[in-house]
Amino acid sequence: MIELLAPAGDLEKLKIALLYGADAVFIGGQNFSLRARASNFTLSDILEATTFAHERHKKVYVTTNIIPHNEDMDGLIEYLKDLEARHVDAIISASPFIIDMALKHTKLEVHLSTQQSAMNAETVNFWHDRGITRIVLARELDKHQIRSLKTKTNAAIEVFIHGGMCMSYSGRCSLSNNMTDRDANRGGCAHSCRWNYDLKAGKTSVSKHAFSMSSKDLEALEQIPFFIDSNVSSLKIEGRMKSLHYIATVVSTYRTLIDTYDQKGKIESFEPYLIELQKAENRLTSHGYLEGLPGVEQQLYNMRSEQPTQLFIGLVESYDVETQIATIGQRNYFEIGAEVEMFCPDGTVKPFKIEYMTDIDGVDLTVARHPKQILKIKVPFLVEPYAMLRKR
Amino acid sequence: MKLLTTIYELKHLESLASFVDGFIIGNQRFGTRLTKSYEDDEIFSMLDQTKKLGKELFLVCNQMFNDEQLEAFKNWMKSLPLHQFTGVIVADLGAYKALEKMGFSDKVIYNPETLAANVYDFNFLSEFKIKGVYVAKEITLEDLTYIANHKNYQMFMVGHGHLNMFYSKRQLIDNFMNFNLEENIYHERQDLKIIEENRLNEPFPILEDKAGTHVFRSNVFSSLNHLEKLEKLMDYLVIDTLFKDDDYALSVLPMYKNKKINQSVIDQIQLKYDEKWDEGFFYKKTVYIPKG
Repeated sequence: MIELLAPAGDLEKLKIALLYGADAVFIGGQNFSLRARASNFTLSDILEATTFAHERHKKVYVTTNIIPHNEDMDGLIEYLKDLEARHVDAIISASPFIIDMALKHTKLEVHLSTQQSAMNAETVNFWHDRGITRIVLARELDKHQIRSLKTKTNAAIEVFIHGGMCMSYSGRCSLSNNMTDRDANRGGCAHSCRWNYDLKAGKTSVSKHAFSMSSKDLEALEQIPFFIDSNVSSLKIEGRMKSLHYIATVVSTYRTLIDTYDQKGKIESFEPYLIELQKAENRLTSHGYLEGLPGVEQQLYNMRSEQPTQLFIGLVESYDVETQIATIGQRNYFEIGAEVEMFCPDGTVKPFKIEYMTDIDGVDLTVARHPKQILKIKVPFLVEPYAMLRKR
Repeated sequence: MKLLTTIYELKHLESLASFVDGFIIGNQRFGTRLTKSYEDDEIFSMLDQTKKLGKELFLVCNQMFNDEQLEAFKNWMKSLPLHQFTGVIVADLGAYKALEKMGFSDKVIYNPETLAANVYDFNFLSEFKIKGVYVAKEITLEDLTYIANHKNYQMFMVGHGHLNMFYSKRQLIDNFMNFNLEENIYHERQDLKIIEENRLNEPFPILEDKAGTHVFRSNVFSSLNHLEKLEKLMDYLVIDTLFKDDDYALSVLPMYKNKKINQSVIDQIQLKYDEKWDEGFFYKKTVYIPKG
């Protein structure tokens, strides 16, 4: 069955991603990884991550996807051996140096990062012949090109299905380097492509509107059956810095869609999946390149599309079957009497009403207003840790 | 070290030839960020003329290719007398593989833009006997020196010009004009700039061509102050005249050819073309988030 691959910025997000239906997660270690601002994993965290995942027959991939400069090369082999010793299932890399050292000095499986922008079968097979088992394709291919490419290679193919889009060919952009001295290929991308600019022809502004290169995020619900039928190996969700609720919702939605298509051979309607995604999605989305070259509908102009959602109000830590009291961590404001729903790791959603709430010391509360406050609420059905309380 | 230049008009080839060892030309079907797209008959003419003048000729095919485009590239390569070119500059490993299968590995110059940033990655195609690789633009002179001292094939670098820093497949200006409900009269225009609201003195040239949209550094990169050193390190130094004209090349090239800085000429050029020069990342380290 096709793999659903999710991002994880820390151990809690990793557990959420796996519990809500991801078959594998990708994480950043503290060395040689992009997305430096994500809370990257220590070696100890990585061991805990692989243990948690392997107990559930799932996988952990570690990104070692920087393009190092000469001064960054020391310590790589030791680090790769450290990852191997912690039972990492694969690394995701773009630098030939990192790739070759991993293949030469460890038994780690290596996946080619999208930073190499593999666009065609010749390129894919070049890397496959070098010992790389899986290729993360460039985002600049449409779904038909992806299907056709897969018929010309034995390499496993991974495609992006959800999340932020690099506007440049990945790995070949130095906007951030030039504008902020932060090296995009070494974890410092400042997202300068999302800023506002004045486009001038000669000395004259072309428009009263700000020019931006920013894109809507990728969303590929409708393309999932096509990818499954195309022998794609892995479907990748992007966003190691996204919230717990975002990861749970996006993963659970795609999980349900994949399983439904697997069982029924068709999807009657994508609407329910889209509605579910929108509960977590805080940026506008589009199909990126998957249906052809992106036009104006895929761009973002004069706006930030983030729409903060207040739906996620609590995370379940434990449940007492006898008293039906759940211990939760507060995530957003709610009150006694609120109509809520419990979003469970198996994808089920169960509605109920908040009728009883106390703080950790048993003091009655009518409102939950403090972020991360530990609360006790009555839930009239069994819930498991990591279930999410949402407003309806 | 050999000097190469791009060129706008064939009629200037002979005058430019006095200062360079060769030329870089391309066609928009497979090349991008071109001074001009040369048709096949012009390319054949260039081959004849450069041969007569004893100069080298490089074909730049630096787009990223999907399978369909790569197939078209292969067919075009088969239609050309590749043995007569000094080299073919590619950005896509698939294009290299196509040339290898045609028996022309030794013509390949790989230009992965940002990716050849360390000594290993620069040399990683050594076993395939290609002609050379462009070193990354985003590294210091010290790093460049180290790589050059350990290179296994010829090293190329852009020594002068507006260095590109962004390459999207999207037609971003066309999309923007659609957003404005206006016709896009700006495709392939070379006088466009974008200005960020907090960097009003840094207009970045932007170009939309058939391959996509490209953004370039505001200042012109110049390596004039380091020619003696580069002479010992570099095999090819490229003068990229995109956004300028052949007069620009005729003004700049004598200084590179003679390794002699003429400040009054520089002042005149900078005034005429309204540009500033700098040394890119030669002495500026970019930030790598510290290791744990």
